[in-house]
Parts: sequence; structure tokens; C-alpha cells
Amino acid sequence: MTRLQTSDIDDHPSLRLISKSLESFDINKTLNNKKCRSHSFGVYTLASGAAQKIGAVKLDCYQLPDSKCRMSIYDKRMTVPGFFHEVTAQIDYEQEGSDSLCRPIRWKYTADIKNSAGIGLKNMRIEKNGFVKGNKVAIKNKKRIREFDINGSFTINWLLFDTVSGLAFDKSMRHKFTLLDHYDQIKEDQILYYNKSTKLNIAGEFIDLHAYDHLGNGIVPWVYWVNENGKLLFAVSGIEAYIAD
Amino acid sequence: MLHKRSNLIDRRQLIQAGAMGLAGLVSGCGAKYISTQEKKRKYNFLFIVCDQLSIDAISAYGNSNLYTPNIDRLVTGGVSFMESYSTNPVCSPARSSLFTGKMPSETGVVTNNRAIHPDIPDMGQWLRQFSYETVYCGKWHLPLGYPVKMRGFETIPVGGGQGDVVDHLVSRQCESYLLNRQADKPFLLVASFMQPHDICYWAIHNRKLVPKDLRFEVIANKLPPLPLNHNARPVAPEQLEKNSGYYGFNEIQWRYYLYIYYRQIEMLDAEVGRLLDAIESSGCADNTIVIFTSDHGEGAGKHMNVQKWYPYEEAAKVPLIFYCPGIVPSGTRDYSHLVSGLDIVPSVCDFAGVKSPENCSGHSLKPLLEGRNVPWREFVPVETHVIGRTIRTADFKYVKYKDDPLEQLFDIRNDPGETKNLYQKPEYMDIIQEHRKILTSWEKSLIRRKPTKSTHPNPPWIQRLLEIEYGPGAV
Repeated sequence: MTRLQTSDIDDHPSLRLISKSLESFDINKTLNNKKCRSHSFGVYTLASGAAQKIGAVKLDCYQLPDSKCRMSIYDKRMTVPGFFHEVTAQIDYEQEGSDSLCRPIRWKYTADIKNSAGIGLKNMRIEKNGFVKGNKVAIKNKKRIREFDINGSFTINWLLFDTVSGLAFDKSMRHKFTLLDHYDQIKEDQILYYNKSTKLNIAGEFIDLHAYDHLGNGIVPWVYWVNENGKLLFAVSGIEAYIAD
Repeated sequence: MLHKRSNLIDRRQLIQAGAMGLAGLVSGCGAKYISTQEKKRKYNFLFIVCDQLSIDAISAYGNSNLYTPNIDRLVTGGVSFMESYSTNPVCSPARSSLFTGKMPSETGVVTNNRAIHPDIPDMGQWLRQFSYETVYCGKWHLPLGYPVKMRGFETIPVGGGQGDVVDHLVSRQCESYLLNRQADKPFLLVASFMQPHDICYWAIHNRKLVPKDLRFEVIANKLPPLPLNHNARPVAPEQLEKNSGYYGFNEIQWRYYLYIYYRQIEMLDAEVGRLLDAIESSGCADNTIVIFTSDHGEGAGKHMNVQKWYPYEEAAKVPLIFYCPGIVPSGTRDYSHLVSGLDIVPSVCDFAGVKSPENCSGHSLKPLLEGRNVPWREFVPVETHVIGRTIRTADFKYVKYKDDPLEQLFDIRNDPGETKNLYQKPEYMDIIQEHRKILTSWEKSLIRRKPTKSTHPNPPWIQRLLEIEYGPGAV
């Protein structure tokens, strides 16, 4: 195990912006979540002085009978006053190998805008699904199917939130892949790698943290911060942040 | 000396015409477009507005530091106006022009967070009168960022946060509108994205977001180079100099800032792709005109500046693309016509077959898109910092601030990076005089209105400028 040096949160640009939100971070509550493959995050925007919570995302991973896995996603974002945006999604996937990324097999999602009573607005529902067949990705809406060629590893952004839990703290590992962002946007030339470990005082407790960096086309660099057990605690991309509940 | 192109007309005629408004004067500058046949059915419009996109930050225009395959689809399949200017390179004022066809000093929106004067119709109100379904999704900022109700549009209620967390919801819900709508009325759908405006926060939070050393070694060889005019700081009026967005980054910080800006544009590009796919899926691609523009550009390290507000090309010049395969010519770039955010409303009205709102200052671009040789304006105006005025003519850019004797003149054809202010060169005195006359004449043609009330308290420097322009007590 890497020997950790205590450092200050200000030494880590990806954490500086969320440092105020971390003042009330409850590490014990987060770790008391016994379903280790279940992840709940508050979604924050960091544009103004203090991080502002704008939603929540819940990711639950299950084993399927045929050695495949399923991630269920519930993503709720505040929009304008009186309305929220809701996505429910499901991704079936398989591990590409040990210490590797997860490759989606098929996925589907439904998005709605709902009012504060939880009633969806008329004609605002969208449903899409997709699947991988060989080196092709197909994405379907209710009227059309589009296909994309992919080479090499391929994953979906939400799967990374679970994948980083299982990756080694090994600087020599470089995962190169094509990303499917927001369920239907292909972004090539991505890289994910373990960068550093540190010990940080967060809300009065010293926590061992390990950072994975993710960079590539069409994304602002992500930093995924996991604890000693691989639990994802914070994911930060510029002024967008996810903090574990 | 003023005109280097033979098809421009006499200056006196221009000044006379300036007094009549921004009436077109000059012949069509040799456009070579394919003629298109007018179809009788009503066109739909998808108006894509992005925020802070520089015209040179598109891969199809030759920028190899980013990849924008979807905006490139618009470029290769449509007409790009390469001399397109924001009326005022800051969000609310520029948007007030995009949606009214009038200058910010006419709409009342001279700084951010103001509403358009209620008696001036916006594009949605106007087209609604002619049986159009008008729908808005995304950033508005006139004055509210994401209003629930708008006077001219049905709103799709999406908003909250910046581009990284909002834009994918905007494109997704526009997609749902396009796929679910009942096709009886023609539509005007506005998809208004925040990106790449998120880059503002890299400047605002620069200590936190742009460390002095590069933290991601894997992109060390991917950092864009500094722009050619990075170190140019031409002599400028005091107000412009003080509010030009100078942050004093080191080279690595600048190049990382550019790296992030380009990634944010790629994020925008993905949303544009979703919209274009939705149009194709919707079955209305053959009669939906896609119009793509930005409210203003971004400093991106040119003149060592970030952000906008100022009249340099990087902030004032914006992409403007019309796209509708079969209706609009494909793969054409127009470098001959000076166009403006003022021109969106009259163009939409012209394609819709309806008259433009009264006193609309813009020109319809439809004749240019059809390759017709029509009289055209000889200059575009840009307003900045409340008291700043810029006149861009075919070969020059002239800048004047009301409270400052120092002017700027750039030979924009030979010095596109605006590195040398020529205003004190005796050989350019006649050109300065000509531009002063154009400016005076154009200002007389404006139907100026007092600013509407800002929803935010004015910072002292803006308050001072408002009082210079509108007198004591201006708000």
C-alpha cells in the first residue's frame, strides 16, 4: 500500500472548489452504506462561491445470472422552480477483465420533466435504448437507429463511477477507451489512470484518498476520489461535482 | 484608401443612407451560391444559440486543437457567414438583438440582467402572430436566466447550473419536443446552450481551477499553442483597457485554459449533434432551417484577454451558420458580407414569408443565401461597455469610447489580430474622419431608449458608465 503523506485540501484543485461542501461531509454515514455496489451522490454546481446542490444520483449494481451485471440509475435534477428533470436508466454490462473497465452490452433510459407534484409534462418524455454488437454501437430512439463504429474499450460515464472502485492504485495502468456520455454521445480518445494518493483532513477526520484522472475529447477532466476500500467519495469535473451521500 | 474592394460605393452615399438607418447600399460582393427554388410550404426553424463561442473555435474552419464533428456538419452542409458580429459582446445585450433585430441601446438591454422593453416584440411573439408554434429551451438571460414563462414562447422548463450540468438536458428535451410534436403548425424552436460559457469560471476561480503548473501530465503535448496575437496589447481607451479581461496567467495556465475551453466546445458540439439527429429523426429535416450562432466570442488568450465585453475580434466576431440541405447551399463560406446579430429576426421572417417587426435594424440574409446580388450594408456596428462604439467596415475597425479622446483604428484585412492601433498615424487620418462620420450618422439613426431596470445592482464602474451615457440617476 502506498504510504500516504498528509496534505492540505488546497493542494488539490479538484477538491478546492468543493471544500466548503466537505465541511459537513459525513464519512461514517457514507461508509455505513452496506451495499458496497450502491452509490448515492449529491450533484453540485460550483459556479458561484459556494457549491450549490442541484440534484441527486443513485447507482445500484447487481449481479445477473450469466456473470453479467446490471446498473440501475436514478438521476433527478432541479431545473427551474416548480420542475425537475428525471432520468431512470438501466445498463447491462460485463467486466472486460480484472482491473479493467466495464463494457456495456445494452442499455435503456427514460427522461421526463416533471412538476413538483411529480407529474410528467406532456410530450416531454424521451426513451432511448442502445446495444453493442461487435465493434458497433447502435442507439435507437422511437423513430430511428444510428450506428457508430468503436475500436477498443468502450464504456458509459456512469459505469466509471462503479469501475473506479475496483481498479488498482497502480500508476502504470492506463485505460484508453471510447466513452458513451449521457447515454447517446460518443466521445473518443479517453484515458483513465490512477494518479496519486493522499491523506486529507475532511470534516475533522483524516481520510486516505486515492485519485483517478479521466481526460479526453468532449469532457472537462474528471478526478475520481476513492477511499482505501475503493468507495467513490467525490467525482469532480471542473465546476460539476458529485459528493457521496 | 478606405476601400480596397472595387464593389464598394461612395462614402457620401453611405453617410446619407446611414441617416436612414442601416439601409443596405452595396451590391452583393460576388456571391456564387447555387440558386434554390422557393418552396410553398412553411419552413420550421431550429435556432441554436450558444454562449461565448469564438468563430475560430470550430474544427471545420481549420482549428486542429479541437474536434467539433457536429458543428462541422453545419459548416459543410450549410452557409457560414465569416464576417458576423455580435451587436454587443456580452450575454444579455447580444441576446436582446438576436431576438428583436435591434441594437441593445434600442432594446434597453445595455448590460446584463435587463429585460427587453415590453413594447418591442421578440421573435417568438412576432412569429406567433403568424401561426407559428414558438418554443424555447435553455438560457434566456433577458433578464432571468431560465424563466418558466416567457411572453413570446412556450418554455420547456429546463435550467439551473452551468453548461456542464444543464446543456445535455436542453438538447434532450428539445429532442423530445421534436420527436413528440404533433405536426400541424410550423415551429420555431430555440435551443439555447450555456457552453462554452463555463470557461468564465476558469477565469473567476483561476487560483482554484488553473494552477500554475500542469496537473495532468498526459495532456502536456496536447495543450494548444498560444494565439499569435497573445502578447499584443494595442493602445486602448481607458475603459476598454480596464475591463478587457486581463488575468496575467503564465504560459502553462493560458494553454491549459485553452485546453479546457476547447473541451467545453466539444461538449457543446455533442449537444448540437443530438439536435441534428433529432431533426433527422423527426421527419422535418427537409423544411427545417437550422440557424447556429453565439451571443459573443471569447478572449481565449488573444491580447492576453479572457472572456468578452470588448470589441476585439475574438469577442465581437461570432459564428453564424444557416443549414438546411436542399434549401440552403452547402459548404459555402461568405467572407464578403458584413452581417450582424441584428439579421436573425429579419432572416427568419423572410423565410417564414412574413414581414419583419417595425423598425427592425437588421437585413434578411435570405437573398444572400439564395445567391442573389442585392445591395448590402457597408458597416456593422458593435456597442461595448455602455459608452463604447465600434464600426467595422470592409477593411477597418474603428473604436470610440465617449469619455476618452483615445480612439482605435485597425487595418483588419492586413492586421486581423488587431495588433497595431493606427489612430495616431497621419496617413490614416482621412480614414478615421470617415469612420467618425459613419459613427455619428449611425448613432443618429438609432431609436435609442433608456435602459430597462437591471435585476442586479450595478457595480460602481457600470453605474458610472450608465451615467455618462444616460445622465445622473440612470439605473
